[in-house]
Amino acid sequence: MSAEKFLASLERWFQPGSEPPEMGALRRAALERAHALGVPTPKMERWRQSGVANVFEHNYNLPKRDRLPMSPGRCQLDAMATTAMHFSAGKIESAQPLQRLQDGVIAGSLRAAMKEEPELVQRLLAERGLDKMGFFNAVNMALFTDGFFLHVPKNVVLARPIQVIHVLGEYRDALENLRNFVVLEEGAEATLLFCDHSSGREYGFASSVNQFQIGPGAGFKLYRVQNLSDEAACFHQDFFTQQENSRLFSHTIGFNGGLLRGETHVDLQGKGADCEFVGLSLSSRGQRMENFVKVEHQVPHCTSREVFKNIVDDYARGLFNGHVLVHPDAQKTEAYQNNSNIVLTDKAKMSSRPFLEIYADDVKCSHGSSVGQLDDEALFYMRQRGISEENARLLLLYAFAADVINQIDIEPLRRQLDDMVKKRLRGELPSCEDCVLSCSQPEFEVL
Amino acid sequence: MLLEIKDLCAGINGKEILKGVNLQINKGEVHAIMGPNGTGKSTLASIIAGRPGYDITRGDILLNGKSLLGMPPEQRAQEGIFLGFQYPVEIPGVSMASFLRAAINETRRYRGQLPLGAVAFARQMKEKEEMVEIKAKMKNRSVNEGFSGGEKKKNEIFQLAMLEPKVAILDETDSGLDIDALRIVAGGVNKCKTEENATVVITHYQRLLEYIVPNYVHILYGGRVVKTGGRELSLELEEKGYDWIKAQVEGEE
Repeated sequence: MSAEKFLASLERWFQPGSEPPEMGALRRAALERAHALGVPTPKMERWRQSGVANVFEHNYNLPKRDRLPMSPGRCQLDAMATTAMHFSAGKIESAQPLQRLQDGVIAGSLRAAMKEEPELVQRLLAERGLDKMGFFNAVNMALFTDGFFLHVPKNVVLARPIQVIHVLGEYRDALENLRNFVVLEEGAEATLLFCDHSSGREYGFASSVNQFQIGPGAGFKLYRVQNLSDEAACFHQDFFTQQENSRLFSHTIGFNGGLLRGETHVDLQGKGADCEFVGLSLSSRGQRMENFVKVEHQVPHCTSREVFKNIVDDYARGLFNGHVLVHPDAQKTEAYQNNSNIVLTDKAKMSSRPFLEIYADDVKCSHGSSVGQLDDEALFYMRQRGISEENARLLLLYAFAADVINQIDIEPLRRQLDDMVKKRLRGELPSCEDCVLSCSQPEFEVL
Repeated sequence: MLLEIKDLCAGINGKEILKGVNLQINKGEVHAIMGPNGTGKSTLASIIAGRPGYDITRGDILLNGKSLLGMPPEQRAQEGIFLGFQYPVEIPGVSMASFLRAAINETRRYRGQLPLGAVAFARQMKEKEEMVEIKAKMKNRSVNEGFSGGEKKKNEIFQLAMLEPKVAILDETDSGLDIDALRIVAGGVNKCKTEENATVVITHYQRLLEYIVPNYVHILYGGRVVKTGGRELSLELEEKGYDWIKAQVEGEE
């Protein structure tokens, strides 16, 4: 397939079905937008050095209900007492797709929410103007089948983290579009864990667009664990808007995947908002892991911190593209951006493009980037004490990763991911089927 | 003989540094290697420990009759070579405890012993802390990270005590130490001495040798051991400097 064929197929894939007319119109407009934009290419600034071209080389099949990929599994992370939501083949797996939790909290399927809370959802969907949508966002809007929906009312603190598991279907050339919405009203607090997995060894492409509205004084934590097969491509685009004095902590670990691309867009709209992004990508073989982050400081007194780390082994490729934009009004901004990387072989590649764009004069901003090998002096020091070269390398790599893991404040999750990172560094965590999260095990019960 | 260096010639990037070094070290002995800057003292220590990058062009290094030259650094360490670094390396993120436990247990495995469990390891840490009077207060801290110069050197001696090597080579362990720290470090080295092991002290100055008394003093100059004597040789060097040695060697040539 080619870019032209991909565009041509959009019409065939486009089936708005029995939705309200406004929704159909929105999807149709998004489709037009995708056509108008055309497919992204590595010549575009935002896509430089990206492996995106491969995504257009496949003849996709959309998910079908009668070809369920797998029986959903129970996740072993239940030790952290999550409320779990399971999506596979682009749909929620639950007899009761939309749950009313404590204190008016609504959580579950976006599709169900569109029926039960049409005004709320319609407002959210239309909120980000079409004119701002990039290509994959527009395609997602036209084609999304379902997604996760969470609404936390004013001053409600979600008692348990919610775990949203998405498993890319086990059918050839799957194309799955999910759209997730999270709204935290003023003073609300919530923690989410997104787990992205694939169940098969076939190529598939999962694309998710995630909109997070964080109200005044609200606090949101987002953990994301990605462990897909080397054949799978997985893009996620996170759009955060933050109101005054809100707090955001986003933590992502990419364990495996043919092409993992994460895009983060943050709009700091209210004074005193604070956000922090921590990412770790562990790539080997021919995997490609890409992170694109854009933080916009619109108003004064906001802080943002980014730390992204990559370990790139074999002939894998890593990419970091970070952009902090401080608008003229955003005085007293504090923005820090750091990308550090270890490249283990001559054939592995890392591209790092940190970028600050500042139009205010009273700000504290810094950015740093490093690409290096393991420290030879440290290796020799450890070997001189009797530690084998292999173990010395593992200890150094683990040390590099550990400060990312140690920022996880849910202890069972931290232990689990710590174990996974160790296994991954030892080469013992090839992909989902061996993932210690084991969400493909049977006897799963939703909620 | 414990450690024997025979006619060792070696260099780096095509430059010859060692030009036929001979040394014989027996159990229970302390040897000092002295000499002016740039004569190959640290190179010799690095080559014994197996630091990558050097070309050995002639000669051999034998530990208990076994050649070390074909062995990677970790195997030399497991065989019983310890190098106290002139500049101990900071390793952020790797705790002292996990570092030392890995070192001890890999060495034990090499020697066919069972690994040390957490409790036994903690006990050994405590014992050695008391023995060398150096507190491993840095147990939960990253290896050498943020340590002062003196703390780093003390940490080297603590590791020496924990690892119990057959030959300890201390490369300028006295550099950058004030007199109190020097006394503690030297005291620790002395406590690690037994009838079964040997200590090689590389230094510029006589000062350290007041605390770690050598049986033999070797002067390394121009890539060779040009003079060997007893403790009095170091006193002579202290008094007269290195110029008379240089004059003597150049006179011979």
